[in-house]
Amino acid sequence: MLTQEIKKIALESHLDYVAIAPVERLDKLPESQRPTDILPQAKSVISLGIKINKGVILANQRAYQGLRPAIYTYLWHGYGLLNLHFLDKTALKIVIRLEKEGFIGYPIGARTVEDLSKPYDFFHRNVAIAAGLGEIGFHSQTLTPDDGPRVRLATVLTSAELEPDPMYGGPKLCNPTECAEKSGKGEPICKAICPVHAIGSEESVETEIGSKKFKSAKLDQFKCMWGNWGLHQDALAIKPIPMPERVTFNEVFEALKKRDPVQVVELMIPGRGNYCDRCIVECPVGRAT
Amino acid sequence: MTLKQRIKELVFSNGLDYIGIAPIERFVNAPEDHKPSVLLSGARSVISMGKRLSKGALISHSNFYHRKIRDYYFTYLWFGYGANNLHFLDETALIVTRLLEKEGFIAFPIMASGIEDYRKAPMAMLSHRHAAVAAGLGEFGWNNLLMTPDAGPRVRLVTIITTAELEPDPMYSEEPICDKERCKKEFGKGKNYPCAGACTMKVLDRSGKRYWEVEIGGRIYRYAQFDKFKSMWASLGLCQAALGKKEIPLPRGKIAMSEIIRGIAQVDLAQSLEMVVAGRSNYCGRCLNECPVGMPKEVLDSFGGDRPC
Repeated sequence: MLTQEIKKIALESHLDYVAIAPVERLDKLPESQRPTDILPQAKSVISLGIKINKGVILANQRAYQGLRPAIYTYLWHGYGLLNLHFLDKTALKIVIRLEKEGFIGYPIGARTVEDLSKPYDFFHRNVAIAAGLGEIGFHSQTLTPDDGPRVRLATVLTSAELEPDPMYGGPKLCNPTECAEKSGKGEPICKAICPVHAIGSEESVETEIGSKKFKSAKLDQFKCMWGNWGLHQDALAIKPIPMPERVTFNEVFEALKKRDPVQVVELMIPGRGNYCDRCIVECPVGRAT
Repeated sequence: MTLKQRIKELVFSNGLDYIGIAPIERFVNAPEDHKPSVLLSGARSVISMGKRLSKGALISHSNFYHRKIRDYYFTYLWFGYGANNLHFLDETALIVTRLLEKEGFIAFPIMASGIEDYRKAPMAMLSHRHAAVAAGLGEFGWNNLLMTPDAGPRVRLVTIITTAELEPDPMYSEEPICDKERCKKEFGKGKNYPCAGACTMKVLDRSGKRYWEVEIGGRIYRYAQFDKFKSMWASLGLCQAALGKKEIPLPRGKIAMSEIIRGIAQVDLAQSLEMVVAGRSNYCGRCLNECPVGMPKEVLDSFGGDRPC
């Protein structure tokens, strides 16, 4: 059976997550973010995921404790390598298998932000939620029961009608009020730890997937970019670039040009990494944490 | 099957050629910020893994340096560096990391091509070469590189630090692999060590007197001192002698990362595009490729009888 074969390919390729959703579960998303807007023949979406290993998470923490060179392990083994070598390679293997059966497989690159000048569309996250990998956290990221938000994702859209997985129906994974109490800072850990203050105070964003409504805080994605590109003094910048109160892509683009050149060299191999990710590194959700 | 055996099986089935295990105690003399136990608290073992360079990639290197054919040098840049590091070593390191984590341990992989610290000199977080020597893969050559008994220095490396207490491998204790004085006599016409004689930037010590000394697992190793930033000038192809399409004037005196950055900014556009795919590679590597130890006959034949010094 094709569904089982696809799942086998993913698991044999060292991925931790593979699940399927019918495209209808994503009908309520804004135009251009629905799978059928990208591939009109799409019937199913395949969500692929790989967890970030504990030693790699520790590398991020060591870097933020003062041992900056440790961030390299996170940039590569926590981002580039997982995305390019494991997720994308597996997505392509699945596409090849689908094509052999006469279907279309349309892979979406794991680390793709299709248009950096626009706010993120959370495409991989929405597909993952639709396919049952978990739910949306206060910080807007995918939360899985086992690994919390420490999972990288990729997607394959296909014209094949595959057997769908149920959506996540377990206990609520993210409780911002409880998290705020535990953090001792009066706000959830992800918000308190964010070096660029990109996460809003309330669950004001609603996303409907498969007739379920998920709430998350508003994320200022361009401020978030200021952190994940390592431009901010509290996000491992070698030469911090002052962040304006209001940030658009133009400010991010100009700041990238002002980066310390050593940081440009650091990304020669990973291509793009994430210097921050503090919200997902310190998030307490995840049984395996 | 023990965990160590399972790791070895994984490593070889993923196309790598070498693996060795060192206990953490062998790193007691490493610089403080580069000690495995500083990077990973509770670390017990260091796993060193290596991949031998293929003869075709080595011939591609020799094609430029001995026959002045630059066009197909990309084979060395990619199959002699990037593909080995990114696709074989780093991927296998992550697969081993996943196995160790599944078994309840923590594993901290160090990127194969990573230079993570440019403050005093270009340095990795943890030296893959020192880890390989500690894990018994070979010893240091005068050229500063790991010398294996079979392939000499023609090996790319990757390292994992782990909390797992794995059975250590003995350190290399056979006949010295690098006998620099004999090498000078036999291959350097009595004038130069082949590695130092071939050094594009002439930064590798030729006197035999200026060396760094390190103690690993009770054994003392000595290898040539050299200027690591000037060596980087050639490995990034900033001069024509190291395949640079444009000669970028090397600043006088001591250089640091700021001069390297200024050099990179002046690289010929076509050359900078070469790196779009490879990410980072090594345009030089003569100390590795000209070393007579473990030199494959087919590669030597491609020299056309011409020795570097």
